[in-house]
Amino acid sequence: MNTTDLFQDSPGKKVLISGNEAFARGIFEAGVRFAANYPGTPVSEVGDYLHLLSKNNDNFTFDYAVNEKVALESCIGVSWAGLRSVVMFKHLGLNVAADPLHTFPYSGINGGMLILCGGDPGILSSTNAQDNRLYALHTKIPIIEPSTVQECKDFIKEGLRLSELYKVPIYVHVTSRLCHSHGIVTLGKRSKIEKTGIFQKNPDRYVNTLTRALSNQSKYFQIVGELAKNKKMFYLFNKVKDWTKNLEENEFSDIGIITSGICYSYVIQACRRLNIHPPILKLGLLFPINRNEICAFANTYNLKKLLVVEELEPFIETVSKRTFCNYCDAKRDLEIHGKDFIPKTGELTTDLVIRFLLNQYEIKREDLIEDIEQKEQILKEILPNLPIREPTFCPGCQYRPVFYSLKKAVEKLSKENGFEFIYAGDIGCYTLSESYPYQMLDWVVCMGAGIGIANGMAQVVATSQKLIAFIGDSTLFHTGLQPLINAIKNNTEMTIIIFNNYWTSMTGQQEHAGTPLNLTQDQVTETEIKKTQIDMIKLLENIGIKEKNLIITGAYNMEHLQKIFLKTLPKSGTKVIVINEECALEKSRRFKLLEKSNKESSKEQIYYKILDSCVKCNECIEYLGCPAINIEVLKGEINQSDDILKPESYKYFINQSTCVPNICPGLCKVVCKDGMIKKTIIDVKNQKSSSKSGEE
Amino acid sequence: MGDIYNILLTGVGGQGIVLLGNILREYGMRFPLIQNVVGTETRGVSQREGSVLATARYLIDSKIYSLDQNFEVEDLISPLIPINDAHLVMGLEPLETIRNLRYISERTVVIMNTHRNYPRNVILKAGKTMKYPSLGYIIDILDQLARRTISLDFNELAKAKFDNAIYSNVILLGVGAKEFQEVFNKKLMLTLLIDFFGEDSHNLDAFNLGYNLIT
Repeated sequence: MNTTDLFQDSPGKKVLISGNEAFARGIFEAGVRFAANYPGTPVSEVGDYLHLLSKNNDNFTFDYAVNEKVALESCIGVSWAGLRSVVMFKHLGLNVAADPLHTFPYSGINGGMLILCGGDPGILSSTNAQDNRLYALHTKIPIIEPSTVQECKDFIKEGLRLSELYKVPIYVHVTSRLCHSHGIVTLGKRSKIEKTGIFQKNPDRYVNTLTRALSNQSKYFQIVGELAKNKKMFYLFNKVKDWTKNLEENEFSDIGIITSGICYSYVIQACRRLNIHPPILKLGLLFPINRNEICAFANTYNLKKLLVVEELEPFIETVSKRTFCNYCDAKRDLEIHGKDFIPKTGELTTDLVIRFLLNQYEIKREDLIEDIEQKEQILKEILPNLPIREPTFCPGCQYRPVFYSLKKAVEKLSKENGFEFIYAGDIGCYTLSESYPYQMLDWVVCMGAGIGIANGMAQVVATSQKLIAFIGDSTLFHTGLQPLINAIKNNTEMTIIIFNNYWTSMTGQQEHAGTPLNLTQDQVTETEIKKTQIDMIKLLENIGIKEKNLIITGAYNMEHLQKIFLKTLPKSGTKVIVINEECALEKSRRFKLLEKSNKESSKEQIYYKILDSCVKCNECIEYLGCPAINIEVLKGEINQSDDILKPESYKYFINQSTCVPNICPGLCKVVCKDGMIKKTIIDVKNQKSSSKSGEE
Repeated sequence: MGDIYNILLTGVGGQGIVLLGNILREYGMRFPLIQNVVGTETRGVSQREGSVLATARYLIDSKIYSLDQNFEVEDLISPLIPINDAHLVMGLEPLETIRNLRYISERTVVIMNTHRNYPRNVILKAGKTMKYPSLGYIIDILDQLARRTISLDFNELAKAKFDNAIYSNVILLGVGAKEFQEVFNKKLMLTLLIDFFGEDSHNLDAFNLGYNLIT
């Protein structure tokens, strides 16, 4: 949905939107004054919608903060000044923001404040699957979790009210599946926003030192305790699904289910499939838990068995066990199952819930079990033999020539000098250097840990082992500067390659502190890079990198790059190579927009084509690895490719719809030793095709 | 009250899965006899050339498509299709279609574009340990499991008729709509195509071509 439609003023209207869109809409409706974000899947899009909203809205400010800690702290500031704020980032971001998170709740909040955090149980685009609900055990921060796209919107509004009622921040827990789900949502009215807030000084409350912190801590714990006892809040966020009204006497059983979030939808689907009707307590307020009401649920339905359906850690299960064991005389012997059957890793699915319920209910559904087992058997036989699709750099990506050149240089240096190069990876598109054909990556841990880990390793490894650390511009500003400064301080033996592509690209080209100002405007009519907010080169010079050890280059001249690597890598001390080249995907999108708005600008079109006489030396596909080059199986060969493809049965071609010849200067043509790639320039104005292949 | 109808879209990043998913969900939103609609996309690290999957799930008035399930509107909230439960699978790429066999059963109609997109690791010398299964093998398996399988090189067809493979998805959509005429109102589908793509008559022609392709 486009931004204008998403933020339209039509209360009551039903729209079909995604979970992320619903969060953005909720923030819009709730009259939030300020939102901040560091991009991260699965919630990146929420920030992107809000960024667009802020562009023509005086009463709403949005900030792509340098990291999650700064984003959270900015929101605390807004809340303390009395206005509503929402911070959003991925689950891993909470680790970065964990320092303030453990302390500021002692002081409480003024304007309602939410921390919207997207988890990734399937590790679809993260480095771990940590269950952030466990942060509640340290911080006592209340957690709410929506189950449907409608609730994604509603819980933002209700969460802010709850936050203001108790003067505490609220953590909104969500996982990737719901963020990327679509559903029908009824729009609401937008609340009024005060533009200016006021901060009222109160050192006893805001200066958390010694006795003040101790006293604030006990006040905070007391507040959370009160929230736990609030029956009204319990039933505002939590729902009991009771289908017993339509049931006949013999259909009742003594099994109940507790679940939350997207898992609730799997439970409903599984129950319908198995035709069972257990009472279901859907938790929307996961922490603090109201013990009386949990016990009441088991007592009302006279349960003998309670099943807990949740992803990752047994959070609800542990709380439930403790509640029934310690606080519920009537149900002390309640049998509770969950993680003894449901896996602690990976995303949950309807199928897993069906199997769990089949097992726990001991229902005789041989037909269904047979169907499932038969299918699982077929899948087990077929799926492992299917080739997987590894992700790689986009066509024209400015990282490809860098890794191609680096690989050539490293091979030469290893052969001649006996060096072994170690590649310290970080978080960003350059992490894809792990896959074919580059395979240059030795670790990835978290943001900033590339240079960080190299800091120590370089101090102890043999001199023949040479460290190369990769980091992008956005990651450098996020948490890369500190380990970099540390390396410079010690003049640690390593080469740091900074991929300065001007955007936070992997999450969708968001702007950051180093993004050139002229590129962030709506109507960019120029392609030249002008002033940036933060000048990275000056910054690097000022933190003490020696002039001879700071090399700045573009990305597309591979011969030049190889020379730089050959010269720089064997040198001693901390060397920094900055690759200044804009993200090719963002650049080509902008060029397309430019072309649309200004037809004059595109005078000529360029095509690259592989000649039929290509000898399949494989340099372009095997070593450069551009995905715009693929194979086409020759006619007549089409049905017999059961065996491994033979070179004579196919030819290479360049996919014109993915090739970006206006960005990439024909890297495939450069690496083709036999001159089998032809460049054609078509003069669009005169519709004349002038094949300059010979001389180009 | 109604029955749940499940559509699964599979393919490779960049093929237009996300857009096709949006069109089908929007259809569910506008068709009066569909009472609720949900869906999802699996993207992950699959930006470039990765496997992509999308779902659209309708709660349909039992009058037009009855499976005797009697669901209520509030019961259709899970965006995931349970095992064996897809009614219509639109496979934009053969390898990605067979990768999603989990959802295909005797209630499924599979419409598959046989135009293959070869993953790197079947081409590269260094990684050439995997093979792309033959079309015959893929179609055999689909025939065994699905109620009906329609497989065709929609890219070739689109190139032959419209000089551009980009229309292959809309032709395929036309075939799917014809297979489930009770679910897909042709007039509404054409209106949607105009809303999504503008007045490009090729899209309407492509849809009609698909609609009249299988008799």
